[in-house]
Amino acid sequence: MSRKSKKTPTSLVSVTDLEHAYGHRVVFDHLSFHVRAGRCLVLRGPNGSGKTTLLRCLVGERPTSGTVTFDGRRVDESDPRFRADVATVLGDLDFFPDLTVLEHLDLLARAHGQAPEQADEVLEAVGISDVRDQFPGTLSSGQRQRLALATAFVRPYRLLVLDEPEQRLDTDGQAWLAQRLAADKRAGAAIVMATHDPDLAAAVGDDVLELGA
Amino acid sequence: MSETVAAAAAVPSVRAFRRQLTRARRAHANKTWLQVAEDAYVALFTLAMLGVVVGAAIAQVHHELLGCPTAGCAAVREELPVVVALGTVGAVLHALASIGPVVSGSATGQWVLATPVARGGLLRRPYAAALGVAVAVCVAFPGVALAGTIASPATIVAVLVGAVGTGLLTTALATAAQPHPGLRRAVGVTGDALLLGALVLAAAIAYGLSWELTVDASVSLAVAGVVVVAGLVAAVLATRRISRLSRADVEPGGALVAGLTGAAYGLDLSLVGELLTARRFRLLGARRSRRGLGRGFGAVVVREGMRLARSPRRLLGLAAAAVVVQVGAAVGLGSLAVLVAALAGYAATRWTTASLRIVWRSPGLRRAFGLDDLALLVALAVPGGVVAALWSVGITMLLPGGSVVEVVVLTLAIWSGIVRSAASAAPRFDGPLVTSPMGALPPGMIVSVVRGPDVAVLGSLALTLGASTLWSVAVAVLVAAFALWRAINAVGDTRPYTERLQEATAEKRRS
Repeated sequence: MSRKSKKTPTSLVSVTDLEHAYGHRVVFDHLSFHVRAGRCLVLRGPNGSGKTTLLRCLVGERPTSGTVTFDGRRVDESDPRFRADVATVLGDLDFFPDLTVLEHLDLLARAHGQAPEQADEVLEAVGISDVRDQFPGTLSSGQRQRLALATAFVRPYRLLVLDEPEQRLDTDGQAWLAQRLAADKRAGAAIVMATHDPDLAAAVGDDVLELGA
Repeated sequence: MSETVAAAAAVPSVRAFRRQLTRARRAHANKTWLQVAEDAYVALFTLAMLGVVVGAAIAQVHHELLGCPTAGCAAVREELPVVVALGTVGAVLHALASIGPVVSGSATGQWVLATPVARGGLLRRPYAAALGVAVAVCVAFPGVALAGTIASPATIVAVLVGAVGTGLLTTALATAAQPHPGLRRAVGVTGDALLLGALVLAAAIAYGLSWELTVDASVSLAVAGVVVVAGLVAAVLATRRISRLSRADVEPGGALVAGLTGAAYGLDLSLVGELLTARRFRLLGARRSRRGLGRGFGAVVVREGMRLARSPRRLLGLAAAAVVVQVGAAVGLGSLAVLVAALAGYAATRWTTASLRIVWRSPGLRRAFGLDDLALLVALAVPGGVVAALWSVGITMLLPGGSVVEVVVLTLAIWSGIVRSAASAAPRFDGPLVTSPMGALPPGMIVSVVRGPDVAVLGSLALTLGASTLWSVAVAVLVAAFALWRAINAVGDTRPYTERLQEATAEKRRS
């Protein structure tokens, strides 16, 4: 589900002359691109090429130089409006050990002002309704990945930032993910996604950015 | 000879397998015998130093108690050993059921226990270690408590012998229950019940309960002898059952012990609690989900309250803290009782901000909420504040001359402490380390232990020193505001050291 913007800017995300370096090692530099609403940008590249670093810059991590703007405003993770508009699954998600799967989604849906039924719908859609009463510590790695995706899908967003979302998903899960992302695009959400899966990239991607090439 | 028989004949004995493993490990050893001896010397020296410090502290307390003429001191002196013994057995049972008691590391589980080598033999050492630790704990605590009394040497010997038997019995019982989840839970619940009994007894003693128990020394020794024999028989019988333990029975406990050891080395008490909580709920597996209430900020507060209600066992900690304050008041701490109450309340309620700690250390989870930092922090800390307030009301009613001011100051001091400890950044092991007598440590590791108790003490200091109502409340409010401000500023910089270094370098270049 995506939230419609009141104004329709040409570019939802704008990256200008971005550079990021760890010590003397420049991960990427002179990077500029735009992502419009309803489009999906796929990041590709070998391990260590800076895909995850770039995604982190998009959601508020400070780059070495350059600018990232979202909806015309400089990206600022401390801005609650930004957080309300941007959903992320970046692999740095922990879970509460003592909340069940459903309770996690119920909490996040409510925190974003959504109807609690949203949690049930997403559970069904993500395919983990059979483990709704289980604690996260008992889930398989694939189920944990589905729960991580569900935490993004249970809330509204205008930009979805995903780091290798196909990881640990089975074939059915990957097919469902491609369908879901395509539907999000149709609803007007922008997606930026790093992936190693050529099928997912082909099914959802509109533009491709090769890093480390 | 058939193939099956040939394969069976090729399986090495436990001894041969261990020898093989030791040979392989020695081949890859990166330490000389001299270095190993040096390490052992440092470990023994550290233990000896700790022993001297703890021993001196205990001797000092005993000296004070023996010289203290009040009825409270007399009660603590004479009845305390019974409470300690009961509590120790309860704690040992609880710990044994939580951890294993027979455990193996994940590498051992995956590589060694997966071989056809006799499993009973392989697990005998961890079992012996569990027996040793349980016996040591069962002897140490009641022994120390007993040393402060005027009991006869025969009674002391009887208690210590009985403690050895109790250690053996409890471990054997927990080992027999280990492969059966229901029985294992029953052992844990029995431990909890004994702990609760110890608390109730301690509270009753603080209110003046005392007893005169005269048992003939020979009878005590005979009972102790029976307990030891029963313990030995149970321990031997349980040895036969360890070969039936599955990898799933022993590996999680090993991972928990490894995690707890790491957390203890990092002086991270919150992580210890987190690991235990994660383990408990993993063992629990599932529970019927409960719907939250409201939207936005309110929904987070309600869910946090529901989360706290899911751990009723934690009330034991609150009760224990209340008893500590009560005993402190009974032995005549006077105005220091407020300070003791603030620290005890902090220790007993810090678990209420576990969610805040998880969210504050997980950038992904924090992003997922969509609330601004202050609102999220307050939402996650409100239920903890309510628990602190309720506890403060209860403890103020127990203390002589308690007032509303005490409730307000205690609540604020405890809440400041739990917020500060939950929101403070973890020590970074990926950056530069500082040398210390304990080896290389990340900066701030030692300080991180006192983050929390420091503001709990500061917040209650004015009242402890007898300041006016206005000053006492003002200091507590200021300290709470400081804790909140520090917590908000602790957010954000969760990036690896290399990234922060890079940013600092770039900043320097620009300027």
